[in-house]
Amino acid sequence: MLNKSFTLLETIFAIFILIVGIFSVVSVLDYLFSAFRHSKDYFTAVYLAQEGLEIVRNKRDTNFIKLQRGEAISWDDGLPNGAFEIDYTTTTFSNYIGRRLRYDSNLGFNYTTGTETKFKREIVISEIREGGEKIGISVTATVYWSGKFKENTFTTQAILYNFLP
Amino acid sequence: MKGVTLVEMLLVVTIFSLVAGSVFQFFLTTLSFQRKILKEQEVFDELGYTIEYMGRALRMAKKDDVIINKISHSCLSGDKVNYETSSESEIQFRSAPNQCQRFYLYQGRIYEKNGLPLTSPKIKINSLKFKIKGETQNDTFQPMVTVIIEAETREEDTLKVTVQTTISQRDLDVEVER
Repeated sequence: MLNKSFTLLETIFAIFILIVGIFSVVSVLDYLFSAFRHSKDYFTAVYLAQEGLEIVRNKRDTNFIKLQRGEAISWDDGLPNGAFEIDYTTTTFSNYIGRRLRYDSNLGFNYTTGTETKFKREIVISEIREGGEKIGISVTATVYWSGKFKENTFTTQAILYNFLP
Repeated sequence: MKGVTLVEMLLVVTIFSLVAGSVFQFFLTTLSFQRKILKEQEVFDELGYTIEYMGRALRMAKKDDVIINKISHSCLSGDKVNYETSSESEIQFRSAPNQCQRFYLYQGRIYEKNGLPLTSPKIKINSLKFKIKGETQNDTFQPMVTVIIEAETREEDTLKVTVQTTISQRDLDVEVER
């Protein structure tokens, strides 16, 4: 038979395989690219989370200093239970409302000046009690940023005790 | 007589070269991605090392102008300060092993006290900034240092990384007689 040709079914089948092939190649490339972007943001996020913990520790140690100097202050002054936002430029903790950190070439990451970045930072403080007495606080710093496909997070935790006699 | 016509032949050659070309392109793209990722890894390794190294030293820093075993130790010009920055891209302090430590930016690389580099020439540090708070004796703040680094690779398609962290000094900032 000379005029043998493809049936409709064969053609559809061939196109289907071709589309599946192309789609998988494109999705692999896309995944590679997003993984590439992810590791860069992850690196920044890790250190921003660390900063969050250090700011809380600094607040507690500042309270310790004030106590040592005879000020009438509690060791956990300004560190109640809750979710907070704070940057290194201030000393007051404000409630977490999901603001994005801004980046200014002079000030770095902060909440007031510069261009908005993709990062949000939530600092959660919860008290640790033993025998009815508040002996420390548990601090969790979580940095959120949105990637191409999903929301990414990095969380780190520290426990700060009241070690003053 | 059965055979292949010119049109059929051309069609086959076209389809084949299209498929082969796209597969080849795919491998090329993947390869360039892999190279990029390896370069990026280098930047992360170096920056991570540098920031951890500086962070540890800054965290364990001691107050200056203290008397230990009747010998006075002074690294900084100020009296009883914890950290000093003569410019924003340089910090000086007395380290835990009782040495005058200094971190500074020079020609796109970060160095420590004796001119020892912490970063390689492979990456370029565009900006290094230290922000200090509570470093004097008469304030009531625990000393704190914020480090901001902007870096990039020294290749034609550059990758820029920005990293910032804050370090709170571990020693309580109170005067202790020793």
